[in-house]
Amino acid sequence: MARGRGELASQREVALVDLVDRALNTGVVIHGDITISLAEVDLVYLNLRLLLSSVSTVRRDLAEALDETGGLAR
Amino acid sequence: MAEQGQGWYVYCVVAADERPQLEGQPAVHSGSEIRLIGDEQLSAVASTVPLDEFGAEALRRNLEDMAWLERAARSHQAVLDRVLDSATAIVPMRLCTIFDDEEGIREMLAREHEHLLGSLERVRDHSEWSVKALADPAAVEAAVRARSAAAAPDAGAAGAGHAYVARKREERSLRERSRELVEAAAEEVHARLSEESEAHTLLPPQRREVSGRSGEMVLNGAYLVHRSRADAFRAAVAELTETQRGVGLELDLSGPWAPYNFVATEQPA
Repeated sequence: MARGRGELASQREVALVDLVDRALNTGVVIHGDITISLAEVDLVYLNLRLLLSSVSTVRRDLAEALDETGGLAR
Repeated sequence: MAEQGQGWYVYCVVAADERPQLEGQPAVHSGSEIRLIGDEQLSAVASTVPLDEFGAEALRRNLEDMAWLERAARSHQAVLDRVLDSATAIVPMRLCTIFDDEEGIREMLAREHEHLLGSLERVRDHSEWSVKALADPAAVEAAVRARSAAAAPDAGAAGAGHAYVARKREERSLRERSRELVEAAAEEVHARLSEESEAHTLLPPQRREVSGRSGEMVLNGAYLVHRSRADAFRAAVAELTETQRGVGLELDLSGPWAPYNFVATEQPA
């Protein structure tokens, strides 16, 4: 499982983005007893970006996301 | 406080008369068996998960672990794909939709009864296809230049001053016209694919850092296509790929997907 993070890894992560785009789709209305919240969906996207972008961009995005969700730890 | 015990992870819902073949299909938690739980009309495709990994608290932590997320998302998807191999319609659940017990699943099926039956009816024999359009800025500008060169009036007819002003104006508007060209092209693609599909929806374009693509995503469309028309849809995408390449637009087709984007509305279409 421990594959290196080279160009190959970025290929896989692109596909993961498409997967997450659908598997975490906010349009599916049925809720379970435990359901990923919208703030947590934002967190997932944030982490995907974190994987793929530079540290400086991420810091800015993190600040933005925290502003938008009013903090993630809830 | 770590959660203990187990919950039920639900992948999707199918009509009770469907018989998805799930033997040997790995569950989202390895070692669990995938089962059908339901009533006379609806079945949930589900498997048990330990709450110390899939409980609310553990989930929050695990979602930050991209390797965990990828594993979960891929096994979720693999189960849906397997069900879709034999089922005529499914309503996919969002990743990590978990119930306390079997009773919780049955309650959900009862509560969402109308909505689930309606969604299944709507997506029966249909698949979702994704088409993204990515604009290569340099190629788009080249296309704009080529077009204006063809349309430009004879430069010799105007004076030098006129030519200078015209050139400046052209440079200023190059970006603007590039955007117009791309937007028109994306609209054309979406309009054509909407004709080729039963239903369609526009998703927010993925940001460049997330898409991992160099071009700017100008279209992220989802299209619900009947199985019998899938080949025609793919052919349309291939044709559009050819025609739009000339304006610097690249199309990216993926599918068939479970109909995630077409099970949400509760009102009839």
